[in-house]
Amino acid sequence: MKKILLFFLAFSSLHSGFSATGNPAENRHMEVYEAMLKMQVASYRIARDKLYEIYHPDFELIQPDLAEAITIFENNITYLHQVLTDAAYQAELDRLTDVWNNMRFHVLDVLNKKNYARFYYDSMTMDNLLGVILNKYEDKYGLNDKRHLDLKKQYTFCKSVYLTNIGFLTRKYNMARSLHSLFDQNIDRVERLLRYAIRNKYAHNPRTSEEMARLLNDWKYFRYNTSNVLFSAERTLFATANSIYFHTKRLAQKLLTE
Amino acid sequence: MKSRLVFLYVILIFTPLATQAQYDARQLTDLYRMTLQSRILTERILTDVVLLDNNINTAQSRKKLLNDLHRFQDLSDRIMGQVPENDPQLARLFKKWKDRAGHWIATINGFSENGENIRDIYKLTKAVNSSFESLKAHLELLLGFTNENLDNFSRLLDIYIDTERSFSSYVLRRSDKETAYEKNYKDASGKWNTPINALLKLRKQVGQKADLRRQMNLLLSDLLFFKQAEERNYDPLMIYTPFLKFDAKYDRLFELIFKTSQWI
Repeated sequence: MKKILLFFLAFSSLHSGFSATGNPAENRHMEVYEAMLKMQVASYRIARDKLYEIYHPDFELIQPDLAEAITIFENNITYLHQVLTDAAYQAELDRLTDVWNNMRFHVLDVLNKKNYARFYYDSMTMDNLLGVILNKYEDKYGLNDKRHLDLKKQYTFCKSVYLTNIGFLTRKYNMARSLHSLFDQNIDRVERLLRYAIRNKYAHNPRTSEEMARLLNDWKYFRYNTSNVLFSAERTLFATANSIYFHTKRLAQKLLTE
Repeated sequence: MKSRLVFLYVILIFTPLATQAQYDARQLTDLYRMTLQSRILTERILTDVVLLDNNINTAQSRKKLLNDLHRFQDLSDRIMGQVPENDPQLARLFKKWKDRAGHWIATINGFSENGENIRDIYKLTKAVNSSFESLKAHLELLLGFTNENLDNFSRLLDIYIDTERSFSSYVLRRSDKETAYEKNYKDASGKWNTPINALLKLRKQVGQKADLRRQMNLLLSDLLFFKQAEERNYDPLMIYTPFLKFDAKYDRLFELIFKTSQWI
């Protein structure tokens, strides 16, 4: 268990993973942008983990995954406080810190079928709050070029995979009816984003083709297991969703350093 | 009679000047601040040793231990550079502290290479802390703090020390290692309430300013989170990163308190 935890923490995402262009200001914007996108994904990853805790409490991957998601939040919130020193952001960053501090208490709560939906909506609140700060940052610095939009699509792709995972389980166990539609909505979104990636020739670009192939493979395997009737595929879905996230981050890194 | 009056007059004028030359209040306050920081770092380094000894995130814990040791060494050099030369007792106390600290650092450096000498580290830590207490008491006497200030400074330190020990004992309770210092940390076990209560008291006493209050609230939120994680039996690795961030938040509180000269 400890080795698994250490493995996850060793690969936990920090705020910076690349050096994209020669322009330091541009790189800084991209890092800040990516920090917020990572936290958005992490908020649904936590929601996914807490759902698994209800039905698979002994599953040894849950705690390491929660630890990694918490690490992503802690590191990136610290990073944003260090970098966004402009007074215009202080109130929002303070609010983000307070919302996170409140959310992480609930991360340690024992959830069940009845109170899970409330936790999910906490994650959604966090996602929305980050979205507001992200939009403000985009508007201020004019970050609407293809590189930023593509990065956003990549992280939306990861979010959608985790949401599909959540939708699958809530439907299977007939709980939190308001979340059942997450499955179909996000399957469609993922397929659409994959088609976008293929149209943009990520599959043919020599720098990204390998990562893209792994991603497509993982997604096909994930998709297959959502309709697997031979055995319970939930643990496979858990691990495959994480694998998709890992490969998407690597793909993003390669695209940004082109 | 006249000559006696002149003599008295000269004594009255020059005695305060002589006293003032002996102790520069600002220099002493700075020395006091740095001495408290050295105590904080001592506890931080001991926690790093516990984490490394129990293989908690080994690579990061080792790097943190080495960084904290460097900081301690730099700080101790700066402290010794600030000790007033005209107070033999103070100079003696600082020298004793520095010698013990030097021996302690050398032993920890040895540990970081080969993982041995845990029992010695604990004994030497006690010796360094004992020197620190003598230094602290003497400096507080020279600075002339009120009882209320003394309580608040003690509380400020105890918040950090008790938090570090609570986390160490949380780690040790889940490990099978039997070491010399484990008994003392087991004594601190389940005592997250100690730093929580101390912080609440401190906040009541000095948390009127918005920035201080906010910083204390952030620390309180962390402490409650750590306590809850242990009560729910989560692995300490779950709170490892938040625990590292606690150090930075505490340092910020410490800095704010001395910057706003709240009690000085």
